Amino acid sequence: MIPNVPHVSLQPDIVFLVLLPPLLFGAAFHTSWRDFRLNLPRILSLAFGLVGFIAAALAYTSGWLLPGFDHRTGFVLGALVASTDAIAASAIAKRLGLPKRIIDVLEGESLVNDATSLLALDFSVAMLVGNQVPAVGAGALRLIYLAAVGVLVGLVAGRLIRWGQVRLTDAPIEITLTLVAPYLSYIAAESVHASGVLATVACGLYLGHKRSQLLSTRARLESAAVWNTLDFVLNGLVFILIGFQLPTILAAIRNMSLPALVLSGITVTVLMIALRLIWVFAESWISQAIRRVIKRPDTSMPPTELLLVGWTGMRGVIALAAAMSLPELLNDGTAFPQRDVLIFLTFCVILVTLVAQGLSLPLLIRKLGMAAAFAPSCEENEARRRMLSSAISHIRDLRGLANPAEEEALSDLLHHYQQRFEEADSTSKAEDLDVANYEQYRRLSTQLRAVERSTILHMRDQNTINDEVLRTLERELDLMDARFLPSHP
Amino acid sequence: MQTADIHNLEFILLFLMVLVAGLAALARRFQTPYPIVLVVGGSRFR
Repeated sequence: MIPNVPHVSLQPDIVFLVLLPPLLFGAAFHTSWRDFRLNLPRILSLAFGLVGFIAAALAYTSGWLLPGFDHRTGFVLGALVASTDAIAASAIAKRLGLPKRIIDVLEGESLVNDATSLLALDFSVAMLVGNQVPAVGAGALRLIYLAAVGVLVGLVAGRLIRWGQVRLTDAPIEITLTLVAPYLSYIAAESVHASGVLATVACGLYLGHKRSQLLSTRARLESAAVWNTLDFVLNGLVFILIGFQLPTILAAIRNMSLPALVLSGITVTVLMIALRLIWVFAESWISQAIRRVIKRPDTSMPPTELLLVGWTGMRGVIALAAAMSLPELLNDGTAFPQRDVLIFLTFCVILVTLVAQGLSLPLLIRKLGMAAAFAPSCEENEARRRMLSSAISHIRDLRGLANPAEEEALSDLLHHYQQRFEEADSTSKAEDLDVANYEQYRRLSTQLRAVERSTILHMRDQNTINDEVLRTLERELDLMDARFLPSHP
Repeated sequence: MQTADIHNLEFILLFLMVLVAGLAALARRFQTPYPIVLVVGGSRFR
């Protein structure tokens, strides 16, 4: 341990109201609506079914697995650790190169399941604090209200932001509006007691789907940089804050037997992992059987993919913030039962799922032979070819109608587009054609831009040009370089 | 907000940012997903 560093405690309100909205919005904004919709049945099964399954299983088993627990405290624990973390799952999954379909399911699940686990937590805490058992019907109605009104509020907020954005062409203001969107949707939904999480996700999905029509070119380019940095900084703060809580959590349980608690932590974590794997496989088999009966095409995942989905169940800051927001007292003035143990067990689940599962994933991916290639997708290549080919057709149409003064410009443009088309065509047929040539082209063109860069830098240093000219020319070179970079890290 | 509070907040923010950047760079160096390094790294401070 390193002493004399500032004490930074994790405040649940800061997590839920300050950090969570932009993180959820950013994740939803970059999620493909088409892929989300395609995987919706599986996402809903994990976000609703699995959360309920884990909460119920821990409510039933905690009494005999964990000393001092009963079904009510078990239910609280189940609700706390049921939801996976959007940030942790995608940060780890993308870094390890999981196949896209698995990432889509994991991201979709973690975007939606926060709402269900927080609702389950509301119920379980109400059972303990007020000593009341909420009716199942009332619970279902509350869930429908939370989800439906949350999504509706998110879409209305998204429409409102869109309304503002289409009237603007000033990049800084457009980007500011994208920063307003997560807070607007979250706060509006929470103010009508609907799910702020689902509202933010709905708003992010909606604006992400419409972004091509919303933002100006400059705003699109600059907002990507703003959001990437914001995402990175907030994610970093969230994970550092999780780590920072360990000494505080250990201090709260210093009078208890640490080995016994660690054993409980391991038991709960193993149970969580097992429950997730059971649900993932069982749900797939059941949905396959149903599809066979109703004679629908089989869209189920192969067992290797199911295993990866089951294994990638990292928990994150929402679980810890929810645990730390548990009330200290019940309505009758007695202490909340097992509060410190609940926080400790939640921390154990987060730590083990992040570290042990996160570190073992690369090995599992390799063993299963599932690493995704980082080559541009066929879909992307095909879209690029069609985009360029329609531009070439348009230039040819224009040449037929153009006045002689435009002929030279059109001829230049046609040559430029044909060159880009050939480049795209060679990439799309890379396996059959000359991949080495294409790579050489990329390498040499990058080298040439480096030469251009050093020339203008030298001119600036010699006071031949000023910094403004340098920045203008450097931006041109950066944009050319950016063609070879992935659109989202 | 008192001036002392602002200075304290400024120091905490600076400390957190430096830690995030440093640990994330370390994660990249060891080709490990950064959430893992940040959580484990964060837990070493008190």
